[in-house]
Amino acid sequence: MLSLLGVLQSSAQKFLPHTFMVGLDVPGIARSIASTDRNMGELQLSTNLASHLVILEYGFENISQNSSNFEFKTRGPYFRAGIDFTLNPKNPQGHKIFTGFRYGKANFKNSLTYQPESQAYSDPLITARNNNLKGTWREWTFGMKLMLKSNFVMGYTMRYKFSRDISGEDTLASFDLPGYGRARKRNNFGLSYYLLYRLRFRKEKDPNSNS
Amino acid sequence: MNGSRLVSCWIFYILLSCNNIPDCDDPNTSDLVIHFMDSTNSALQIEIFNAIQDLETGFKFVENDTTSMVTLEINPTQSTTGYVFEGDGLIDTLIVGYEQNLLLLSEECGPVIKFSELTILKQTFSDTLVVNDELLRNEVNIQIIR
Repeated sequence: MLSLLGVLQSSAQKFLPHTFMVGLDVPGIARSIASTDRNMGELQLSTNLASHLVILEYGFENISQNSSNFEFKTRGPYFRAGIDFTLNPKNPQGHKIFTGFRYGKANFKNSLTYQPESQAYSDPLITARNNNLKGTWREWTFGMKLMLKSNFVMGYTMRYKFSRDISGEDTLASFDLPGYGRARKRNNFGLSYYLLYRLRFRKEKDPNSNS
Repeated sequence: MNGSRLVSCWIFYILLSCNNIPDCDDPNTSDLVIHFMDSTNSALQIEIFNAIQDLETGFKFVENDTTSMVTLEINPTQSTTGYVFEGDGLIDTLIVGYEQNLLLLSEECGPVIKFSELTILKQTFSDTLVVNDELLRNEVNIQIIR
């Protein structure tokens, strides 16, 4: 009876979270600094489930495409939730190669101001907007996380995005879907590059131990 | 993972991402194409117009022309456009309705307006027929019996 309890306790401990990671998508911040037409930021939170990671990503995009006769704006938050399965759970340094999946959702709005060329109608000005757009998609992910010194972690996530669905469009078609990319593409690729900080709140079980 | 394998993965990824070249060749147009026919509904009847004008602004699309097919711009800021046809001592009116959808092709190409669901709201000709309710390049939209 006592040995059974011991096995159950050991199994439970294996699945209990011992690490929490928080980080930022670095290229997104760099692009926001470099361009006045793009403001974006993404935060990644994760915690372990055995040797795997439960992931939550939250971001915001404020994008503007413009030229001499039009301005198209897209603005809204998004999140992705999923799991990254570690492919090398017994790596002694804790470096992770992983594959996983995400479910993504964005609530956003967009608007267009457009002055088309016209011979018959003087200076026509067209405005259209969607105030309550919703987009969902799914992702297959692959990436790496490298443990640096002082609990810092560096990592990238490659994403194959699919099953994109957008609702709430009126006469204006969406151009960007925050968190997904070009809305017209049925499938899309993405790359995130994170700098994370790791908080360990419970002693991690030795990954090479069999018991 | 060794260095050359990592580089190969990156090249593969970059190649997959190289499908962003903009294609500005869009078939949508804001031109309404009208084909005139005779009363037998088969042979072309060459018409002589003094003018075809916009009903509200008076802009002259065609002036003193002999033709069987005309291309008329429709008003992109309204959901209806009216035209007045003057010729052979007759004055006729045609008012069309349509739906507009806006699409940004790319930052380089800019937006396009898709006009569809073309309907004839009012007309004073012998007969009219919508043969194509989307405004696409080189497509006849309306046949008019005059």
